[in-house]
Amino acid sequence: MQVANMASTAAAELATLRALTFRLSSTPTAQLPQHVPAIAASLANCKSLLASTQTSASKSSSDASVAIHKYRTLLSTLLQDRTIQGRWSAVVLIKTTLEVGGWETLQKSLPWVRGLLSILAKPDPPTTKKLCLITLSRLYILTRDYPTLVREITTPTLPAFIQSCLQIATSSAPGNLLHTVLESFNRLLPRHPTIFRSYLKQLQQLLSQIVAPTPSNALVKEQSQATNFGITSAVSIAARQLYVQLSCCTPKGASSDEWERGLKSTVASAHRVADKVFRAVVEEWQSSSRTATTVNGQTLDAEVQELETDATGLPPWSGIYAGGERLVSLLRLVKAYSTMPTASVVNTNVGLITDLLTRMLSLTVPSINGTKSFQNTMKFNNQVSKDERENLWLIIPGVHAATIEILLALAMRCEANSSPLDGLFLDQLIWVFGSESNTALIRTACYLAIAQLLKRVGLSLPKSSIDPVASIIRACCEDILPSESVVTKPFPSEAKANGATPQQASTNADAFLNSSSNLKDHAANFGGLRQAAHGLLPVLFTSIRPQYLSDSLRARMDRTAILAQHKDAMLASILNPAPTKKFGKPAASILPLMARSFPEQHELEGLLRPRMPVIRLGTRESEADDDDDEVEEDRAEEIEEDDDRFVGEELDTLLETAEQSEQYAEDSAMADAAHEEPPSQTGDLDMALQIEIGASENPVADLANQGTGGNKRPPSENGLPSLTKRAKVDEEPASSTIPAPLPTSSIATTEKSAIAHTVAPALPAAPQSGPSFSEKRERGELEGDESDDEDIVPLVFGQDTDDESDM
Amino acid sequence: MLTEHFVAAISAHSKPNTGVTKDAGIFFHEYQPLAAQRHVYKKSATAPNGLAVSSSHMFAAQVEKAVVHVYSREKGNQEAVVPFPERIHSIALASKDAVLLLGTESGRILAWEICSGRLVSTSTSHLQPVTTLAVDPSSNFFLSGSSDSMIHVWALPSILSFSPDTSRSPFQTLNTHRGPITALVCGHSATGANIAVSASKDSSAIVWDYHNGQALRTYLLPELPTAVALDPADRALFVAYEDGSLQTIDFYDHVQKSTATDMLRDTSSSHQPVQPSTKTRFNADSQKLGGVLSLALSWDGTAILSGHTSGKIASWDVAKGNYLSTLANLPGPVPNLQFLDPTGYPNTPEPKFKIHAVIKPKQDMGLTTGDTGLVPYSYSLNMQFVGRLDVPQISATDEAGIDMSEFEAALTHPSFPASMLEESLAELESWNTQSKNIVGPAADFVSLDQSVNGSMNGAGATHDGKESEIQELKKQLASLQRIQKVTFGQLSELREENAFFVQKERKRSTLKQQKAKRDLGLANGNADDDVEMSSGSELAGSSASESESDDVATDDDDEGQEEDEDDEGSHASGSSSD
Repeated sequence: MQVANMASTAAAELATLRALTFRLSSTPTAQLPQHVPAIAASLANCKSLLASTQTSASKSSSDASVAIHKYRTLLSTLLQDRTIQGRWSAVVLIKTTLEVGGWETLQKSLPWVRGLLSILAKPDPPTTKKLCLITLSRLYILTRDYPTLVREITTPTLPAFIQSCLQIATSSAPGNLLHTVLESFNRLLPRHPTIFRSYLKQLQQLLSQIVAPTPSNALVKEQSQATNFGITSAVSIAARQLYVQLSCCTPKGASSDEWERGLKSTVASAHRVADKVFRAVVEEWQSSSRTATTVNGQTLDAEVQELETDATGLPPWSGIYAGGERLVSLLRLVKAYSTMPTASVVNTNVGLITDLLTRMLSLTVPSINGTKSFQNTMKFNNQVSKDERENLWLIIPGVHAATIEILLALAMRCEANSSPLDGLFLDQLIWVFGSESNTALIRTACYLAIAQLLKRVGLSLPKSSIDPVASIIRACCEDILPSESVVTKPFPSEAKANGATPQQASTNADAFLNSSSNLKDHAANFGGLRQAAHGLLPVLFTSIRPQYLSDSLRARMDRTAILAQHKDAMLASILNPAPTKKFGKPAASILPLMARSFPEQHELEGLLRPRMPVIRLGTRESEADDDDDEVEEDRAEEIEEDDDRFVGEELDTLLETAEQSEQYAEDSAMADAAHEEPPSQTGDLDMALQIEIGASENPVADLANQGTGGNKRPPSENGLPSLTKRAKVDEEPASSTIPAPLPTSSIATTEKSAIAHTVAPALPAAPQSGPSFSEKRERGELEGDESDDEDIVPLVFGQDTDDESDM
Repeated sequence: MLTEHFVAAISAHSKPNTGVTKDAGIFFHEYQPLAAQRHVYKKSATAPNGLAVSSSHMFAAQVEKAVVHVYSREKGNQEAVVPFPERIHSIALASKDAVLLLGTESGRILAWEICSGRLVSTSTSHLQPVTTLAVDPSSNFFLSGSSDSMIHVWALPSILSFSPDTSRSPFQTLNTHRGPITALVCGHSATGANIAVSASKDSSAIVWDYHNGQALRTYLLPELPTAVALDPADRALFVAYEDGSLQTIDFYDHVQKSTATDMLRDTSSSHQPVQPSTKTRFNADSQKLGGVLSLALSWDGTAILSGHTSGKIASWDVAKGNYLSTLANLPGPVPNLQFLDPTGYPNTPEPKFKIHAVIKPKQDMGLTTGDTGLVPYSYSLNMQFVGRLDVPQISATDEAGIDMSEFEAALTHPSFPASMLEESLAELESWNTQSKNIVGPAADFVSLDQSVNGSMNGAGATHDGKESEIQELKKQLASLQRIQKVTFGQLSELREENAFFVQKERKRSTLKQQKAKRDLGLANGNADDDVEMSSGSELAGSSASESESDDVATDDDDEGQEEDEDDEGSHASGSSSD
């Protein structure tokens, strides 16, 4: 059966290949390119045929080898075709054939490689050359795994390939062709360092021109001849990646030294450029490694410039903007050092990088309004004109964003190894954010970095470290909410609503000035900013201990999550409920709102109707003391109210998991399971998660199991016990406290005991806080002058008022 | 195919004649699919709780010595012997294997960053040796248990931090136990809802909410517990006793069940110690296993392994609570038993770095940071970076996608991405219309075409700026060539015409001469010119043989003329070929 199947597929493939060959040979070459995409697509169907070895002498296989030979020959002739269309078609088809052909095709690809190399020298259209470069790179990458092919194909032809590429790159090739060359080198250089070694000098010469371009260079163009072709950002990214990998080419053993030296000199050049660019201010930063050049004592050039080619071979520049561009590029080069792989173990000098980052982050744009006096202590260098200083303020956000990129790359590369630095950078990020949060770029960068830091160390941070983050949290919430749903409110009303809690020292008037609507209209169009803010919000819920967030801040976060319909953030809020204050009212969960918004999500299903025992957080701190005396009577109540079914339900949850793990066990076995132990799965080799924890030892469990006939309980029944519970909750306050709208201590205790025994505390709140919240929201939108906190009050305090309306 | 391994370390040097490789101290066993010993590491007598296994290395704290042996898993040999100022009683890996925590005899805990060699010490908060360490899954906290019956909870980042103002003292202290702590395990949640379980020689086990320092549940145990293990989903606890028996403590069993929520957090019962049913205890007396020293739970949570004083490693069925088999019989007591994560998942992401060799701790590095709060200049990480990372440039306007670069997408595409093909096809089309004009004439005027090609080859390749220029020039050239061709055509026509007329004229003059001769000689037939002409032409046309002798003379003349014309022609063609 199987054999017949294989034979039929082989026959089908053979027919396909023949048809394709015929189509290729019968179509005039000029029209061939239009046919090629379709041919390439159906070529994938001949995978096993092209990859098969043609050794056996049977008739079918000889047919196959004839067909394949014909096809290959056709491609080879096309490759030598006089027209560009023919050659183009050959390039595309060769790439496709290499992808499906496997070792068999690779082995016979040497003539193709030569043909492709000759195309690179011909005056073909740039895109044809691009396809050709990609095809060759792919071929070299595919041959890597086979040493014989490397010896036969790669090693002899690679030098010619590099030479042609360099020729393309040095002649003024269009940007995307240059990009392809660099990307291709990026992939090939680490694998073939010895071949690339002889071209090292040319590569360095080429790269020094494009690694750190300075488009706004004030120098005359003739001095920097090579910069007259457009260098796109993609080109310089690829160039930086290649530049970093050049160290692989150094003779054996020295590559890591070379890498370290490269990093060191890059950091040093960044410092040197920074010395010039930052000369308008007196920096407070003190290096742990290098002595900063003092700018005060000496006379300065009229213009910020570097007229010499520096140690790393970068061309000269002039003008503060060009300096800024060079600085950003150098920072990105440092980033490239940590994003690219290394040939061997390297000694990454984190101290050096940290020093650079600290210097960059410690210089911030002074805030204009002067409210934050502690950040206004910056000293200006009087020798430098005011114009230049103001130009510097324009450059700084870009520099900071590039600095944060290094931080992100470092954290991503070293993972937990760089966690000792996290606390240090959290403070610096907050500092930068404090003075430059009006820039969307800086906000984006800070959200990204803060999210990453908090994810790693957030839970262990003390409250003193969390408090300054509040301003970032508020800004994040503002950036998430689309402008139309934001009701801007004047500041004082927040203070009014906040009356009970002490006013936060860090709430600044700036946040409210910033929240004017024009800023938010823009925010809707800032995709990156929105993405970063959306990414941060769930992290704020999960990685900051809930008790460290003030009530108003927490309410703000909840509200943002709900209004933005941010599923992850809502889920995070539910999983990390706000703690209930000792004498306050119970904190409501936003679970009902999520149940309304995302009824079909698995996460929600798991929360509401758990198949395993759920873990409940956020129990009140004082509960233990209060409940002690009530335990006995509660127990009694429980027993009389919830009979077999309730106990059974809980047990059933356990049993259910046992059943789920044995889905393949026979039903009869399940019936027996009521009396015997469930069959064991331990002997199985598969790694499915199975567990039965002594469930059958429990006679009650057996009863419950029999009662439900060994079947799974319908999901709707899950809700029942909690509903009866809810009735109980509603009854209790009703009987005792109808006339008293104000929360007295006695109510608080009865309520507490009731809540403590509900299955999920949020369920009773479901019908209450939901409508009231939206009601309040409408009101808030209408009136437009309510504070944040009044807006959110129903979420927290809603139960009292709605108890009345419900009754 | 997944493969699951476990590692066992014995606390004594191998006895001489047990048939085991001499000096074997740490045993690397395959558990699934085929239970068998795979490798041994030599020269180690590992202290209880003294084994830690990372993806690249194995650390074994030695009994009665102040050294930790480091083994390279890749090479399978001993890589280093790291001495410490005092005896190490427990070790554990934290921060995704980047930090090794060491509990010392004096009661402080050392944190050794194995990539940088930085060694940081906590305050000496324990009064007696730190016997057990447990790290929470987020590596934000770790717990240390000591013989002084205290458990301290520490925030790891603040201990590792460079800033001088962070505290190096415990974050929480859990002090309910009344006897030395024998075992400590952490739950499997990375959130604030995690639990920890401790067992003590006061014959109790306590479940803790260590974030808040609360005891959630106390279990009174029938005997002195020696080791504990926690179910993968934190539903049950397995306790091992000195008499070789094991016990399952189900957090959700009938003794405790009352609600569907997490039983452990039902604070109403946190003050009531629970005495688990004796039915949940199980052992295998017939196997003569000896006391249990260590426990390990398999990845799927269905089997539990126990290391015994007799050197046997037994496996037990979790669900039934019965003895399954003896997996190994090691030449010494087994105080350390550890399951490794299964390997062989098909799409395992590549690690971002590789640690080839640990950097031995440098005591001074941890200390120099105290004053400034700056990262010391010499602080560096020793690792190989593996794989490239994609850290996009931060932009406020563009969303950072996870999409690959165009090149990468094309490289791994089965053919070429459709967008790239279409772009290229479009260029091919426009390229054709541009160059169509020059293809025809270029074939005729080989010399000109070659010179163009030559100049292009000289330039090495096309490039866009000059490309259009070349196109322009080619066009001009083509039109010039056309003009030239036409001119040449005209020229040759004129020449033919000229030759024709000249010849005609000559013939006429020769005829005239002949006529004149005839007139002179014969002096008769002074006939009409017209008739003469026609007859003359008839003579010339029909009977050339007749006038052959005359023609010879005129031919000479003609040839001379033709030579002149040829000169002119060659001159013209010469100028055209210039």
